[in-house]
Amino acid sequence: MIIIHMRFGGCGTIRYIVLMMLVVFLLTGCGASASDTKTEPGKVVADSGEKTDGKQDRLALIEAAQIDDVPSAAEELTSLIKTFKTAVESDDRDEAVRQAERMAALWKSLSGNAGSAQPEKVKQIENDLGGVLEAVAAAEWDKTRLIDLDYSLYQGFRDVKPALTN
Amino acid sequence: MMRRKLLSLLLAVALVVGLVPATAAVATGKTVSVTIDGKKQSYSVNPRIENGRTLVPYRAIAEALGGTVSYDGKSKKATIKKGGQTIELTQGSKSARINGSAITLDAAPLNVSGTLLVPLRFVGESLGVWVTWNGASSTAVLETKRTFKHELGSTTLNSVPKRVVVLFNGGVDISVLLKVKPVGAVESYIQQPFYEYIRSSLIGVKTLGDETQPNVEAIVALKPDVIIATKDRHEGIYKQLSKIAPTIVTKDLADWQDNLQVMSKVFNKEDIATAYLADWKKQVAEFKRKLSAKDKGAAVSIIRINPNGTARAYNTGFAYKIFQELGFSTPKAQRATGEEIIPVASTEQISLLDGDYIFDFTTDWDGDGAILQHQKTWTSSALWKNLNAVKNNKYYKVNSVTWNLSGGALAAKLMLDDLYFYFGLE
Repeated sequence: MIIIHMRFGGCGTIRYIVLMMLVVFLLTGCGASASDTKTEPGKVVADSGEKTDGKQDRLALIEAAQIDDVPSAAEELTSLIKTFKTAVESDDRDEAVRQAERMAALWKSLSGNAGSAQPEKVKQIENDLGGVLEAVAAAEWDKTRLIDLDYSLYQGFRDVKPALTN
Repeated sequence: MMRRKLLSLLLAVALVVGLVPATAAVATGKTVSVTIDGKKQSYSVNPRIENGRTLVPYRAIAEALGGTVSYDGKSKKATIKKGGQTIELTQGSKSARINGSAITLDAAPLNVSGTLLVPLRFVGESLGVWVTWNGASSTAVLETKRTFKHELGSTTLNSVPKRVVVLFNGGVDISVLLKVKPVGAVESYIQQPFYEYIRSSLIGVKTLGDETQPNVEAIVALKPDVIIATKDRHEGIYKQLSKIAPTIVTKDLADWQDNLQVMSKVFNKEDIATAYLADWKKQVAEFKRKLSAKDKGAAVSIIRINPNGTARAYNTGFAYKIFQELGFSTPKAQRATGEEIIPVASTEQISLLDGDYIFDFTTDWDGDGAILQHQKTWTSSALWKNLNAVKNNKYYKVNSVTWNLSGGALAAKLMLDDLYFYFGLE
């Protein structure tokens, strides 16, 4: 807004017209994104250019996966945590990104069942997942960091899994 | 002639068919014996196996062990007093009390012709005797004392200990597995007071300082029934410890399987240890079966960076033993040194750290990150990047607690589970 004001100097009418147009543009834009661009579960909205401030934001942007049952989803997540490591080690970026997003989506469906039992573990898992999403999207991969985060995730999820599946 | 043969055949078949149920009945009705300190006991109502549980006459056993028993027919409640301990149990109820604390029996006490039969396990838990089951002779073996021959001597216990002190971290882990809450235990090397993975089971346990230098005065104050120590750490203070309480010394800090067996015998928890070790063997076999052909026998290098900035490789210790059991090999260069702990002073000797896989359990002892800085210096060097494991993306920083610092039975399974992650096994 400050930029617009400066650009149009003392011409108040033009300034207000531009402001109104911008408001209308923004409103229609928001409406479209809310109704038309329904995100696929597990997809990172940030991919469409939306800027994120950190790893927690990246996790927040992931939609919870639709799961049939908790034990199967928990098994799938354990399996993905392991295959994610393989994808990173073999430099398979597309697969690693896909798996990271699916892991986050699954966790978001499962976390409600684990939350009260071990809040510290849940926090750790969310930090690790946020870190994975951030690191896997980086232009230059830090493989050591990715594997470290994935290992931490593996251990953290192992700890909360019994509460989910029993 | 033909008719006679047919008749004989039919008679033979009838005989065999008739014998089968009789044999089965004998099998299920097999006589169950009880011995106390090797002497066979006889009872008016015989012990028996009901639904897979061995039930034994409680009153007669309690009295033979010096207890007094009273029975209230109206409430069907038996009260047993022995050595300052009061046990209350009720016919038909799985709930019992030992000194007011509620416990649950495997099966409800059964009244057979006026004799109360209770699960065998409860006899040990309530009367302080060691109980084992000899399946071959169907005998419940009760012992009122046990002598443990160990590395530093021989120690006799006169009842199953209740006030237990554990002086090494692997033992603390094992006590959690065996469901024996110590009155005191050494604190963990990091994550004090106790490692996070077992901490919730140790709430209220008094900490006794470092395992390398336990606080003897604090041990005295706890008035323990038994002290569990280990030769590597406590040989120098064994005599001092033995004056405080009967002390049992395990032979190898890192030999979690032996430590588990020793401690289970002390605590009367051999059933838990046996089941755990059987499951471990099964898991080891399963891991070996699942491991890809290229990784079978792979040379595994176990390393850490030291606080002074040097490094070392391990051809000994907890993780090493597990890798050996899993069928992995030791890097040739390390083996050639003949050392168990191979010092690597500088990057000039860096090849000693190499292997098909490198697992690094460097510990941030002080939590100030200084040692991690040393680790970064090593792993940033050009020579490091030239190691085979590093070039092949097979260098991993692992959990120092479950791979090294703990050394317990629960840690062993966590480490094995980590290997499913590292070797990409389902």
